[in-house]
Amino acid sequence: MKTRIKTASIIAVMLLVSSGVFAQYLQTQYFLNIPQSSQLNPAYRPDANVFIGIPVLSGTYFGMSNNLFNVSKLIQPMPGADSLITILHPDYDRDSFFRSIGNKGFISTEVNVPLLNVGFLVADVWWVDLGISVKGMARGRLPADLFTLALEGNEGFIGSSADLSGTGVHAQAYLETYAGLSRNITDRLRVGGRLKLMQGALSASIIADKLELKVNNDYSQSLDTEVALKLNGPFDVTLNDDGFIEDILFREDIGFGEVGPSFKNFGLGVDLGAEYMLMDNLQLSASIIDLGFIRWGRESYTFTATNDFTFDGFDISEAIEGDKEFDQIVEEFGDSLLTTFDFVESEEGYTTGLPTKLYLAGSYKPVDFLALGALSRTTIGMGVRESLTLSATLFAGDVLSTSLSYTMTNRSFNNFGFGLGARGGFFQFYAVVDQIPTSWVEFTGDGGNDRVVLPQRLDYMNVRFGINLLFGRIKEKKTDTPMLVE
Amino acid sequence: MKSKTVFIVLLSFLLLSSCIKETYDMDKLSGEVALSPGLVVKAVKGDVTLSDVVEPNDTLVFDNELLKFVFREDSVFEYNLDDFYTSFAPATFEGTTLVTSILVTDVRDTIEIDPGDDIKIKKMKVLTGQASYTLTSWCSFDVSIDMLAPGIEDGGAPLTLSEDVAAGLVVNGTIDLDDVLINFDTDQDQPYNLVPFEYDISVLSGSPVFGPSDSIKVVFEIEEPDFDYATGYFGYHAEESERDTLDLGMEDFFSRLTGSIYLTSPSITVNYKNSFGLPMRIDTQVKGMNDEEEISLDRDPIDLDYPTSLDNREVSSSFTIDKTNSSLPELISMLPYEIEYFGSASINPDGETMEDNIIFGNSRFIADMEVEVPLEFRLANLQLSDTTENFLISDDPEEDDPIDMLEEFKLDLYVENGFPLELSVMIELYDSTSMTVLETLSTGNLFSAAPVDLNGRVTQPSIGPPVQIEFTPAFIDEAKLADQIIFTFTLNTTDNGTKDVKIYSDYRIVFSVGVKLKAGINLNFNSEDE
Repeated sequence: MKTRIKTASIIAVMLLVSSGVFAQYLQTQYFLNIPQSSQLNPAYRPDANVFIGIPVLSGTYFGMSNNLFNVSKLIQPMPGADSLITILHPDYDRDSFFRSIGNKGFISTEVNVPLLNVGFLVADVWWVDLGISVKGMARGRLPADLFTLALEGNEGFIGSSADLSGTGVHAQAYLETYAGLSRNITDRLRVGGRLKLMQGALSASIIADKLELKVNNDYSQSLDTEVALKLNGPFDVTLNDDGFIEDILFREDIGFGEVGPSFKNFGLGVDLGAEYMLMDNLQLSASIIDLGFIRWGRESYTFTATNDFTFDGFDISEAIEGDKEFDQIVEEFGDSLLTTFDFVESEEGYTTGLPTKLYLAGSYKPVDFLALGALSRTTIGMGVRESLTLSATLFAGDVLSTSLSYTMTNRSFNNFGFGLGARGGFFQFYAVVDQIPTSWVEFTGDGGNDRVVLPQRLDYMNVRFGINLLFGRIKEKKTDTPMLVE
Repeated sequence: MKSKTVFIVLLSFLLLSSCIKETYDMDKLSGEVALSPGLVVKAVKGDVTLSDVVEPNDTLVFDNELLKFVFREDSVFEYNLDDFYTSFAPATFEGTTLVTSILVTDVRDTIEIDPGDDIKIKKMKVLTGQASYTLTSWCSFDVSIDMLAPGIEDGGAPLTLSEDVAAGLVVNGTIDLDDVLINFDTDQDQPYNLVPFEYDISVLSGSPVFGPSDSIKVVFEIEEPDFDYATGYFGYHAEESERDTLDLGMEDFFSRLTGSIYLTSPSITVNYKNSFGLPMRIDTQVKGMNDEEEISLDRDPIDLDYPTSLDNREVSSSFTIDKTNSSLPELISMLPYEIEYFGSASINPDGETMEDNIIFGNSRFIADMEVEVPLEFRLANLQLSDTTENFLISDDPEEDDPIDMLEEFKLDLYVENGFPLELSVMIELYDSTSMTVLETLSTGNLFSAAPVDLNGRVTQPSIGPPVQIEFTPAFIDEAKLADQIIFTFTLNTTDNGTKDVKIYSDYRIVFSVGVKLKAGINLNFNSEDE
């Protein structure tokens, strides 16, 4: 039992404390003039000759995104009454819930902890960027049809299908080592690239690549399913006689070599980017980030179950004929259903892609102290998601800069972000948050004795803060590249 | 300076906007939960052929694929000779003869048997029997007595016996009558029940002086024999059974049936073996009764077959009561609560005829009865009503009723019916306290009867459109209040019961039932009860 709990805990940790791939990378960061902006566009070059990131402190990032667990989604004041209601209450506006999640509900978390981060200018032309980071991520996806089935039943799908494909969770943790270069091609064009080597540590996913429930007009139901479980780590999987997974155990007494980053879980990725000054006060930029893969080859296990069957009622002919009891028919149906699955198991490695992001941005600087920006971000991985950020960045000389952003994402349209950068000497402190809790909810209970204040919205939270060491300034670049603008 | 101002304004905007917007008092969080998922599922299906469902047994058979109910009862009637015929009592001849000469001859007389009123035995073949005699002498001399029974043939010769009787003594003896044939019909005037007896007396020694007391008494007695057969006339006898009523115990069931049912070809066949060689007639009066009518069987008396010669000692035969000779279909189809019956059985119902009766020592009559009810019938709005307690609500008020979680309920029934029957159901929710029907649901025809040919056999299945049975919210609400449910099933055969239909083993029905429901899940976690 302890082993199972441990297994569950490990998977949970992987789900909750993972990094980088799926969550909403800080949009506001793109336009804030800090070295970490280069993570979104390798063509970006900070205003320094040398940059040194302090391990852990220079840019620890935590991100969380979901479209399910907003306070306002879970609890609402009851219209016309002095009480609160949940989504299960009859007066709850469930239509708004479905509108808010669109075609899927999801939750994702990520953590990025930099271990080494340096950048420096070479020959006044090349900007070299080196770093090592620990990344972890997890994402779960629940199609909207699943909520429809749970809350409203299958009646609404008569003559159509409930598409539950994509249901699942995916988590992975790895060590990323990268090296990047950027340089000006012309006075107005700068390009950059970054090569990433990944050493995977742990990976787990269970995803229904295909899960479609078709409800026919005669109420028979067809289920077409293909579910894959992929594990990479010191897991022991036991199958029962029917071929189903009976148990998954995480081995005890394991060493670092079994769970630590390893080249046996080798990955490769690239980031590419470009910045172009269309006019003196108008810059366009584009980048593609995390174009790559990880091949999970150390202690991998893949289990695939496929099935395509139709349930058109229990055949009670034998019950009528007196040969069997109805309970027996139901039991035999269950047994026969198991035999209709096609199981494939393999201990060969598998490959997961990195969720690639495509950034397109424009920055306009109408006056010296203000820059207006627009950023489009497209994420490909467990579906395609799109977000758009508008920003305004203010400069208080070279010392202080602030950025206010507005992001439309997750089918929500009131996400305000804030970035702050302060530089004194070679120290630069920064903090970026992509959603400012503009409204808070105070929860009281126990007659007012208990009191908790929480942001009204918990669906979107990305925080990065840290201290950079910046040495020197690139004087000539000041005219080309607006600082703290974008 | 300008940028600083803008910065301050922006920062103020951010700070001011970050305020507590609402306060949620979790003490006022409603625990009320209401979900109304709509679910559809094709619940059950079936493809059933009658021969797969009906296992033939002693009472249910397929006769050339036609389904029949057959009830057999062995030895429903069994009579032996002793049941109506008692053999004659010992017949005795007793005579005293005065001896007045050396030889006294031709003393002739008859022995008369008494087999009973109106019974005239002409011949009797004895299996085992004997006669006894007592010879008493009051003579002063010895005599010899020669007895002769010319009507008793022993191996073709008359029975004779010679016995010496000493003076003044008594001699007893017996005569074996095994296998003799006794002819009781040698007397022209009474050719039955009489057998002649003769004897001679001769003095054995010297020339005695005959005195007035010299006499011989002869007593000859034929004891009751076991006979092989007897012929003659055994009289007219009639036995009437008492009028009686058989309660079928079906009143409760039949009283819940309305409409008409007509079983076309029921029959009762009595198979019997009869070794009484005499005419027998059975006259049975049967009447079915229910609350509305009485129907008589109207079957004519039945004359049984019987052996008419010694060579054919037993006949096997049968008689049938069916629609050709009675009102049996009408009687059964009336669904009687009770059967009133009485009857009579008579032998020689037409009196004495030229033909002699023959009975055998082992004569018996044994009859088995077979009732056949082929499933050949027609039904016109045959309705069966039954009232049950409302099983949709729990007897225990503490328990949740499943129906409380139901808002709508529909059944989609699809049937390919290969039977010449159609069915509709009416469900009435009944409040026994106010004696009112709260709500009624009529399904209409759940499936239509298959067409039949002139022989009543289905020609093709009836494939109707799917039937939807909707239990409306109003019905479901009333179901929570009713304490009883009345089900009324209405059956019709093909063409509304105007055609005779037959049920064959290869009839098949294919069906599926889809369920569509809207659940009403209402919980309240604020309640202490929850």
